[in-house]
Amino acid sequence: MIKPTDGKIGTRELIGLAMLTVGTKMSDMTPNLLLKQGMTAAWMLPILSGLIIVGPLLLLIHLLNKYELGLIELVYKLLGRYLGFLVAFAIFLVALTATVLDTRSYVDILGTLYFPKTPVYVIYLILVGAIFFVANRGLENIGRTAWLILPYISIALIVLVFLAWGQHFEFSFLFPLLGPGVWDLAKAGLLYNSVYGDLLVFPVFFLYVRTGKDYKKASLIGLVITMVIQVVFMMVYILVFDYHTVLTMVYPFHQLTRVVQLGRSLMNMEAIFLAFWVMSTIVRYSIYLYVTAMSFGYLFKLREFEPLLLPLTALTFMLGMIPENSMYADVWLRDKYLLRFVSIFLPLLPVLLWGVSRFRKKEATAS
Amino acid sequence: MGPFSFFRKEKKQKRGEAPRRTEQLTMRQEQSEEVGSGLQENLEKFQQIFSYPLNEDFIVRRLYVRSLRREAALVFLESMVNEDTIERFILTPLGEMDVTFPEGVSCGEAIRNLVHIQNLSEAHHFKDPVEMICQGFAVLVVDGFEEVVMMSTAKTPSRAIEKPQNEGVLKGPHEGFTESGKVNRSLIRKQVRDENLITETIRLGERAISDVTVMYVKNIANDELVQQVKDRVKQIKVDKLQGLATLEQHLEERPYSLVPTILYTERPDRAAVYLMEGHVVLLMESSPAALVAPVTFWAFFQTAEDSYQRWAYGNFLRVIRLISFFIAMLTPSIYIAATNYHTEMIPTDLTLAIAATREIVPFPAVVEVLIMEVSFEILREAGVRVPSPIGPTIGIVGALILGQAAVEANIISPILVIVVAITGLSSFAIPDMSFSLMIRMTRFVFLIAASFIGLYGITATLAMAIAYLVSIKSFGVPFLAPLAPHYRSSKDMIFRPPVWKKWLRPFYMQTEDQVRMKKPKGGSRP
Repeated sequence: MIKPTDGKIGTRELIGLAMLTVGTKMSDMTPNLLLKQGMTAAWMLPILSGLIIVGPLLLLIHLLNKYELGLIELVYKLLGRYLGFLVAFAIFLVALTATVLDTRSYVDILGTLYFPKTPVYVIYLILVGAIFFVANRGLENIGRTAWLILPYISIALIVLVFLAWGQHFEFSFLFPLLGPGVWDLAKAGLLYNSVYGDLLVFPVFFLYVRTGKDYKKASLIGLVITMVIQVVFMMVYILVFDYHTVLTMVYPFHQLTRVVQLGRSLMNMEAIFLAFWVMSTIVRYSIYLYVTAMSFGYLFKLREFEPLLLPLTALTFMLGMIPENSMYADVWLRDKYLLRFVSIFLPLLPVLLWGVSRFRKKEATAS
Repeated sequence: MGPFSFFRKEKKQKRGEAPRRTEQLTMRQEQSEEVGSGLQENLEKFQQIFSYPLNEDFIVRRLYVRSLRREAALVFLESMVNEDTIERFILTPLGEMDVTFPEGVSCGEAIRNLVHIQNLSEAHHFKDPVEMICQGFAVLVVDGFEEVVMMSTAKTPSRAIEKPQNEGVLKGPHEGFTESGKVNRSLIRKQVRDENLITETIRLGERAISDVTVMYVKNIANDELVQQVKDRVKQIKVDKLQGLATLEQHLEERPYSLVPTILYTERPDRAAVYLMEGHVVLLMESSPAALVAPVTFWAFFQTAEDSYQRWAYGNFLRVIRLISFFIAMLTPSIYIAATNYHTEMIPTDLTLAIAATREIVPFPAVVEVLIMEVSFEILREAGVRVPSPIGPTIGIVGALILGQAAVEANIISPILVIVVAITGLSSFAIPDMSFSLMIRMTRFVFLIAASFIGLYGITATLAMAIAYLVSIKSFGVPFLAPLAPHYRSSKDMIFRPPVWKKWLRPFYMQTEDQVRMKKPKGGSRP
């Protein structure tokens, strides 16, 4: 037979995943959080956060390469059975809550802007159904799907930026250049590094990437690309709307797609961008779901985790239906708890693991 | 085995109980018997196997072999042999020539020196000669020898080589496969004049013989792939394999899937191109086509014409095809989504125009689309089945009823006629029959999704469809290779590079010789 596909993904697929998960965050409520802190200089925050995350990311990849284990297994190996379980459980919880809260937030975007008369659970069911279908095809195929749709998503985004430019860019909105000041910016950059948190959770499937080198390459390229996307879009939001106005908007990305137009005949193009956005959303959450299932599987050392996808999908749907409205889910739960926790927990995790690894090594050489 | 295993088992048992089975078994036993030395006794055996007096096709021609000084008989099926060959090259020399053979010469040896037949062999059991008689051979039974001689005298009717019916081109060869396996093989070999082009035959069919010819180029095609295809063919257990189209369905990995995974082509030049890329080609008697396996999405998307036209023209054709691919699949659903859910998407004037024409139509837009789409599919099917003398009626009926009358009767709105017409037209631009059917069917899936929840539904379905396409395989080759997953190749996918840049064979085929020619200057970076 032709070399059986090994179920692993390569650099391309991983870049695709990174871009669809991190890069598309500028289309939900993340920009509002950043703008609140960064004001006119909010576009610098993705760069700052990215620089902050590079260290832990490289450290983590170094450790994973050294031990040749997935993230959860590494945690177990270095931190032991009890502490390891706690940390691994935290990772699983982060993955699960991110899946639940973010899907819910996206469902609310769809409901508010495009289907105001449709019940939330119908929109949600369709979303989780599609996500489950894609996730159920396996990591390899999620990655390939991401890679396949990547060019189309990119083209759509580039077109959007140019259309926005054609609309009107007010460059004076960018000033004062440093916004609230260097110190506040740095603090905000540190606080909201969770934007890149996905990249620190993806190592859960480290062993399913062809080589460690591929992983490193893809992560770094992915980081740079997503950084560029975020910076460009934050700038576009500020240039088109001014940061004050964006703060009063719930979904700046969708506002932008509503504002742009191409001549008199194509005044409302949001539906076109909706199509691309839904596509990337489905792939994004299918990998979230898959990572959640995988971390659960490794957490309890189950041999197979793919049968978990269906129950986890159901769980996501049920938990996601709990919040009354998106304000509660997004602003309260996501911002106050998830993002804060993730911003501290995930970057510190590699440092902790590295410390333990060094300590053990010393102990080993001493004895 | 799946949910149907229970039924299958039962079926098998039933077949086992049937009395016909035992009859067949005794026949098999008879056939495995050895050939005796007495002429009469052997002839009786043949007559018994072929139900002699009853079966009028079966001929026993008695003769006297002068050189051997022995009685003999020639048996064959009248309808399968060339009588002229038998007359001139077997009967005449056997009866007239007088050669002295040394003592103890074998029957085959002697006959080989007497008759002028290309393909001649001996047999000691009844099984082979019986099979060969069915294939159009004549079998000579000579008194006193414990063997029979089989001589190829086959002649089966076949039509002349004609233009391919469904895969026409404007530029390039116009030969199509015919119903004769031999002609088809020679059509391919004419294109691939390579000593490494191998032709193997696998015999299938428990009652009637059905030969499947497997062709591949030895030092290009991956050995394991060839073996896999051959194994898959050998696993088929049927009483008779009707033809290539049936073989295709037996070989498929996903019989319930909408997506075809084996290419059925009428063009020898396409088969030749795939052979040179390391694919395996399957042929069968009485089937005017070839099967190519494994194939990817691109095989269904591309035509021979794309490669024959100059680079720019070929790519232009592909762009047109890509557009028609999406139009054929999505237009009706986008129309529904736009008019029902995203009216703001359409320019205001047009919205008003659509609304004005729809005002007098009593049905919801979805019903309108369904009425028109179903009528169009009926028209298409009727157009294929209609006897050719009354063919033009279809056009008149279709144009009048679907186009004009339905609009005038206020059953549908005029804009919908445009939507359905462009959709139908685009689906004709899709070259492959299976692929075209797949798109025509998925169109309805998208239509339902769109009527349910607009563009959101369409996109969700599209995302699932892409994830599904990416995950399927044809004989181990990912369906969307070399795009996703990426493999090195000549990048002949949606667009193609100029011919001189196609220096690599696709790597997903794991060919033994991956390079077609020396890397040209400025050749595409793999």
